[in-house]
Amino acid sequence: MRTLHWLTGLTRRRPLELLVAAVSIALAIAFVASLGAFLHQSRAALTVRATASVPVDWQVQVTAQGSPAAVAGTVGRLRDLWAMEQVSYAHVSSFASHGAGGTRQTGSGYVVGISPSYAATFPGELRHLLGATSGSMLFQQTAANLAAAPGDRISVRTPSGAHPVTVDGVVDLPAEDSFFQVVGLAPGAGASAPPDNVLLVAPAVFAAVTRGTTVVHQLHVGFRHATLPTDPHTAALAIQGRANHFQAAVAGGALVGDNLGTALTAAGEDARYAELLFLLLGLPGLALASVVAALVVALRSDRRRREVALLRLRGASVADIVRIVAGEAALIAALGTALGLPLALLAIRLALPASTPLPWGWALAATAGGTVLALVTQAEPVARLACARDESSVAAEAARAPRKRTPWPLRAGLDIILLAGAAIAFTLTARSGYQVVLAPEGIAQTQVNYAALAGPALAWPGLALLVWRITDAVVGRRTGRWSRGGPGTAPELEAAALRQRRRLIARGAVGLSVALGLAVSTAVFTSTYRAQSRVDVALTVGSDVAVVEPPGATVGPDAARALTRVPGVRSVEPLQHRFAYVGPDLQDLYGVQPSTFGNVTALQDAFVPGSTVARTLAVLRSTPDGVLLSAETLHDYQLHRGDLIRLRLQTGRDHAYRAVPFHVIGQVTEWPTAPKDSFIVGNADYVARTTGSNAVSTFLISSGTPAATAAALRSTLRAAGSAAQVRDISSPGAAVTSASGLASTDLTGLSRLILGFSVPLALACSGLALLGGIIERRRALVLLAALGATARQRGRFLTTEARAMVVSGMLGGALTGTLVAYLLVKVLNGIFDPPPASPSIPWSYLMALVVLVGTVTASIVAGVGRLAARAGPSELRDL
Amino acid sequence: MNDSDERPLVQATSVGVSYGQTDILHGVALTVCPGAHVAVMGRSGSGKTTLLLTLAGLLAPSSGTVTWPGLSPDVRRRRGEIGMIFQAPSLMPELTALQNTTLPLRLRGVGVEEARDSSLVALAAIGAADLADALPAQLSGGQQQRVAIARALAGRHRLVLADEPTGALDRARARQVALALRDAVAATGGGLVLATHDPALAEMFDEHLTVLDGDLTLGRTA
Repeated sequence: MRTLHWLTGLTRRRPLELLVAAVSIALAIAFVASLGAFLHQSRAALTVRATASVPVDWQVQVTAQGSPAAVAGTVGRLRDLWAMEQVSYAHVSSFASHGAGGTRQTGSGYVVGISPSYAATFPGELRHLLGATSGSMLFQQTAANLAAAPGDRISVRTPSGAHPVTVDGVVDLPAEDSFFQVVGLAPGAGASAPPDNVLLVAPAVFAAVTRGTTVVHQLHVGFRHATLPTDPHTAALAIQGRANHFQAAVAGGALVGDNLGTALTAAGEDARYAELLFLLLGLPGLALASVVAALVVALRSDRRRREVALLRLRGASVADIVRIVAGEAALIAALGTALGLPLALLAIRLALPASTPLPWGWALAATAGGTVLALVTQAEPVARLACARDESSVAAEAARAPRKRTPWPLRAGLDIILLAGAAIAFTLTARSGYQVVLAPEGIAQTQVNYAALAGPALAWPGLALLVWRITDAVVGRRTGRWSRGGPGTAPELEAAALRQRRRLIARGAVGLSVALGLAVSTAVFTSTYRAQSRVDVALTVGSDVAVVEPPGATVGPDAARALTRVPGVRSVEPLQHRFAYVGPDLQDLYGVQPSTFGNVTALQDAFVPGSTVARTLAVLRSTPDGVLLSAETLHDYQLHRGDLIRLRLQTGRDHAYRAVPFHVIGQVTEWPTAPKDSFIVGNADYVARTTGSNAVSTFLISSGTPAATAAALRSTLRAAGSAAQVRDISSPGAAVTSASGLASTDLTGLSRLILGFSVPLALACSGLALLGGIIERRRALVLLAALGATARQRGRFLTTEARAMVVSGMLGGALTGTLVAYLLVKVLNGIFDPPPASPSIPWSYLMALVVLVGTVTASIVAGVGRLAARAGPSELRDL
Repeated sequence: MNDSDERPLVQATSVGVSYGQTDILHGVALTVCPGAHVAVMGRSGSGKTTLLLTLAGLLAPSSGTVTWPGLSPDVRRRRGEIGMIFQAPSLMPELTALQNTTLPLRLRGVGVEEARDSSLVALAAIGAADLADALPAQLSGGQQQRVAIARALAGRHRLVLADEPTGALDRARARQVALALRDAVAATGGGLVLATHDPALAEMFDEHLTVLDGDLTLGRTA
């Protein structure tokens, strides 16, 4: 009953206090819930992207013990089965063509039997390039090797003889690696280079041309994905479980090439990065939200102590006090939830992709967290008072002045210990190559190297305590000797007041520095990610615009001249693309003009480890037979700078591979249009001379208006009858996901959430700390007014304090934000592709933040300070 | 004495003060001249504090007028010429006793050294020199009140308004402090208005007024 009376009184008499406390809890609840929605959404998006990226979910290979019909029957009974196609593979000796230039013969290859409906059922496996869309279709590289086009006749050579086939079309196999995978081996254990020579034929033709050869039968299977769990880990486990069940059911009659499970497992690895972002950016935000809630409660902690003391002195038991505090906390938590969940929905709608739900689990967790936060912040100021045993203890505790002693963490040097620990942890992480998400061989599940998070995790509290220590030390040494004052000012007294209040100032400065640190680190991280995404897109496309010649085209570098005349084109750079064998490995080789290549594309020094782009291109220019190789190739083949390497390149005349000598001049990690794994960069002139072909694969074009220039180029090329494709960096197709698989929309959503919450939290920290200080000093301000102090003189006492707090908080925030951003960019290196040379600083955002915090602080000091010093009769009588 | 010294320090004419619907003072007329030492007596809640706050210019009257002919016409400067001692010890909690005592002087533009010397003299006058470096939280209620009185003394105000300043002191200490206050004001030729419950303390003053139910009457009530 007493609790009910208390709560009713609180609601009636102090609704504003109640509301402010509830808003602080609501911020924490909304922050947790919306971060939870981000995690849920990013996982679900990864699952959707992973499933969409797989052209064929399963490749079920019939073993010698099984029969295609029996296996197909078992597959047909699988849950969520959507499609099934039989595919037959036969290894053949070679393919040959007979043209005007003589007979051309390839190495060994595959004849693949597919039904006419296969391309429609699994459109991701085949990309039609030339001729008919069904019938006998030649793989584009094979077509180039044989110089064969639709309508030409080729022969398939098998042990039983040569079988003629008429080419109906030319296709590309975008998922060639998985299409020709070795089924039955653990993912990654049986990787083999896909064949260069492939002929796809109808089942009847397949039977005719592969007589006498060993045939492998596969069933390509597609599932409906709607019923899969949204979490990629769980979805991968479900699919792998289904595969195991199937293999047990066919009792050795078939093996499953689980493309879907592999993709989902990889997506699960990517999801780890989302979790890491949540941990590294979300948890400090949650701590900050707790600080704000504690600050709000601290605003009235003195009065609450007096009120609880009065209750105790009037006979309330400890149980009564516990019920009252719990009741207050429950009321605040309920109000906080009522405000926080709609706020979370609003934040989700504004920051995250449309239709992102608020998962009920996260809503519950946020509500529970908010309730605990309300309980802790409400109970903490009165805990000792509530437990005091006798009246004198109650009175002593109620009258207790705020502690002036240095807090124990600073006395114990905890800040130094934490920062030293962070430095050690970071150094160890750096030595391991910033491997945070691990995929150990032989283990299906990815693992997070949580020890790598120790650096940022220790740095946050270490830096917060360091800001406290520095603020305390600097403010504690203020004498006012150097302050500008004039007649009627008392800088030495202002400084004396400041010294006495340094603990409160340090507390506010710590809150502000954490809030600003969070905003700064998130902004720098996001800005760096965006910058690298742009670099990634530019690398994928090659330049602002790229004109990609069709396979087999023999357009020379002179064609660039015509392209320069198209409106919007600044400069054009031809880029050769060849395939070259390094030992048995087929790698992409790019031929460039080193003197002009930098004009059209932004190369970064990070692409050439141990050197600079300018120096590397200069060496390439002066070494005609020089090549840049990937780290993997240099390592695997024990190659060093200056070593001679013989690469087998296809000649332009007979398309046969012949060895061409090169000299290794350095290492390269990224190159425009190059794949992410191994590739080679050399001099275009040397490649043209040694292969007898100066054919250009791509013209890279710099332009200030990529989209318009691309449109103009398309129209020009169409008019000229060219089949070249035009891509530009602004086209949706050019958008890429990060190396981690997190799309830029995911990170944009997360950064919007964190920046959206950290700004009001930063303002709340500085505002509430100052407001608390002003309220606490209200009597002193009224006294100053009564002693004849003008508004300006009173204001100086407040502005000195506000300035000390805001300057410390801002400097601390800059220090914290910069260091944490550096740690984040390094530790989450796997998210970036390519890794950034240095973090990008979003100056305009940071300046706006500084101005905003400064303006709000000044407004609070000016407005509330003036109001606080306005003395009514009751304030004057209280003096 | 020049002409300005002859003029009343404060003059209240038909002053009425109301807090909401409650009338605290009505029709009060009072003139305090330089050198006048006035004791105001009355029960708790009779309006003594309100009268002093009104005379200090800190509270605007609901009716009537309060003027300060012998003090500066400029509000800011006048505030510095009026010293106010409040009923409860009113010190800046983050300043030491000495710093609290120098505060009004420094706000008036007095130099650091001069303010410090005057404050030390004032603290010594009321036997609080040894409290100079203590923070208010380290002082008892009585000690705090003595520091507040020293602050009023150090200010060399032309008009000192003291609201039951010795309420927190024992009788002997109260008498010593009241005498020090009276003598310090007398030395400057200023006026002193002191509200008190204590008839013995009131005896030390030349004029006695009593506030009774919002009215001011000359002399002491029975």
